[in-house]
Amino acid sequence: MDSKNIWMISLCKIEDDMLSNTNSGFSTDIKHSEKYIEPIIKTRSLEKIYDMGNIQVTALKNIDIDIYPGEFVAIMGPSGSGKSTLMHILGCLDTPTKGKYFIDDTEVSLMHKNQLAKIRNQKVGFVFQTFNLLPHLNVLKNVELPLMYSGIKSSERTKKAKEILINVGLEDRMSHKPSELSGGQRQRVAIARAVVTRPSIILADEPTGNLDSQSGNDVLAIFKELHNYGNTIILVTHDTQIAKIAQRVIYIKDGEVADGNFNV
Amino acid sequence: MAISMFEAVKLGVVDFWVKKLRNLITIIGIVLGTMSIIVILSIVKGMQERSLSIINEHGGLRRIQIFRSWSYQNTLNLSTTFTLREFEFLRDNIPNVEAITTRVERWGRPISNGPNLTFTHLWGTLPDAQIILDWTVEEGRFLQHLDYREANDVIVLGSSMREQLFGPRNPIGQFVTIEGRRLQVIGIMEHRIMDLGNLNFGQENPLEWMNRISFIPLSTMIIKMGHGDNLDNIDIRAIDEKRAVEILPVINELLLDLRRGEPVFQINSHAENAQNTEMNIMFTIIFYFVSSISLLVGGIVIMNILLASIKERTREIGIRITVGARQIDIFLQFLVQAVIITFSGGVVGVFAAMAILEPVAEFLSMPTLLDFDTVIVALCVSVVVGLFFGIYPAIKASKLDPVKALRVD
Repeated sequence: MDSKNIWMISLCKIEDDMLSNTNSGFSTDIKHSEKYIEPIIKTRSLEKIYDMGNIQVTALKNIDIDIYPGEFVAIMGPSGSGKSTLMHILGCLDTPTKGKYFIDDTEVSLMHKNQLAKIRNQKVGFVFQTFNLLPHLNVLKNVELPLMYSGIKSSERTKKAKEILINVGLEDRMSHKPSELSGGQRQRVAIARAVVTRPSIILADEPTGNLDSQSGNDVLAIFKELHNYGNTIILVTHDTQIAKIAQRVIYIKDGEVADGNFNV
Repeated sequence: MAISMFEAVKLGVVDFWVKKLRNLITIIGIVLGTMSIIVILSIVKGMQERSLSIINEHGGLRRIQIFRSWSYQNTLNLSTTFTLREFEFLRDNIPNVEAITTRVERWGRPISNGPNLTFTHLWGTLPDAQIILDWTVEEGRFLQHLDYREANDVIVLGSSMREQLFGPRNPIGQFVTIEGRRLQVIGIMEHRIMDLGNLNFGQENPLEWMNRISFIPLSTMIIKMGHGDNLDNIDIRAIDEKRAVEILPVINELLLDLRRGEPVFQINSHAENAQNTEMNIMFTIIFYFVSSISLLVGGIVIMNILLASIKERTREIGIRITVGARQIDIFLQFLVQAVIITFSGGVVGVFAAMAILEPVAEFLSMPTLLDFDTVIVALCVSVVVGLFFGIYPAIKASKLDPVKALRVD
């Protein structure tokens, strides 16, 4: 198998669409095919209220977002704007207080905890600013981790994890502990872990925040490549330079969408 | 899509290894607990085994003996021995009997074969005595019914009697003299010995008295040697252990009937005695209680350590939830880890018990018996302690909010 095919996801529908769009002279910009495709992520009047005893803090309100398959979206906003909370809700780590959230037209906000775990495992890949690798496991085992919770048997897990690690150029670091790697390498391991179950959505929370500019660019290059292979990328950042690689920027301010189609 | 038990065990082993020093210290309580359980069980079983082996050397659990009750004050002038007719009456009326015998016995009778003289414990008895004593004949034969009917002048010797009278010579067909009567040796009994190691109550062989017995027909003893038919005791072997207990009330009724309802005789049942030794259960329970406390303390220590380790590993739990772990996966991981800690404590405890059992037995001069069941019981207990004290920390870990967990440093 061509190793680059690893990035491919089974979104043949989109590829067909993109293909037909290209043929008919449209650009490959997904936005133009909106009318043909259902959004992969859809939120309606999403609200998140934190109950702090006697005070209620509204972190998010009236969030209506549509993100289409294959889009590369940046979420921007000042700190405390609620972008991380939104990220956690989109990644099924948190549940909204009110409103509806759909992934692939399925209402996630009604799901049971176990179903959410399955979504996190199969549909969403998370990349964090602080990498969040398990320090006592080596690189290979870290990448295998999501596959373990998919119930895939050990030999198969190792095979899949190795394929992904080759793609991020870390095949010679597989038996290293995260502490033996540079920041850029750690983030590449984290990306490998995020995509090992072939999720269609990749959520990245300030993925270059802890990296020098060179490693940061390497990591962004991987996101671009993932995007080129049809993955939906949602990247949280406050760096406008980074947001420039996205096709679209959703700007969050005081827990609300200030601009859902911000032009950088 | 939950993680399999195998995965959970693998995770647990890895986790155990990551914090091996702390875990080794943690398991000490469990080690001591399982160790004391094993030592106590081994002592209890050793004691049971010893009393059972003593019972077996004395005719087994099917044996019932009837003799004069030492608590009976003979104010009514009732006979405290049986006549031959009374013996026959009992023989014909006690059900489920495999063998029944009686005897007239005399201690310290001089016995000689010309040059050699020694003293013997003389039994005038019946052929069934061999069955009841569960004793095989080394050479020749035992007394037979014909010997009894015809009151033959024959004798069967214990091994020590043979040794002292005949040495290495063949004694069968030779003659010995007791109380002026010449008796022909027809058999030699097998040498009886009981080895209890250092627990032989200061005796080299507690069964040596048996090797000094000489058997002659009961009829010869009563008729020809001038001992009256004052039968001191009656020995019974029931057909099985259950019947041995069941016939006791019947025997008691018959005996009371023979002596105007007075408790002249007492009945000694091996089966009943063995049941009474199980009364030591109370003693055992106290021991169990003590070792349970050490397991309890060990368990609480483990729960404490697990709670601390969950606090330390909050971020790890958050990461696992992020990549798709369900509550049950986290729960299993921590529960299995608790069991691995206690189980390894159990395993170490087993080996520690094996190491100290010998010196403990010597120090207490108590017999010990370590069998496979004991080890299994101890290991099961260690697993149960892990399950019990692991549940709360495991539930706590599985209920963590991933968003908060990821924020922890």
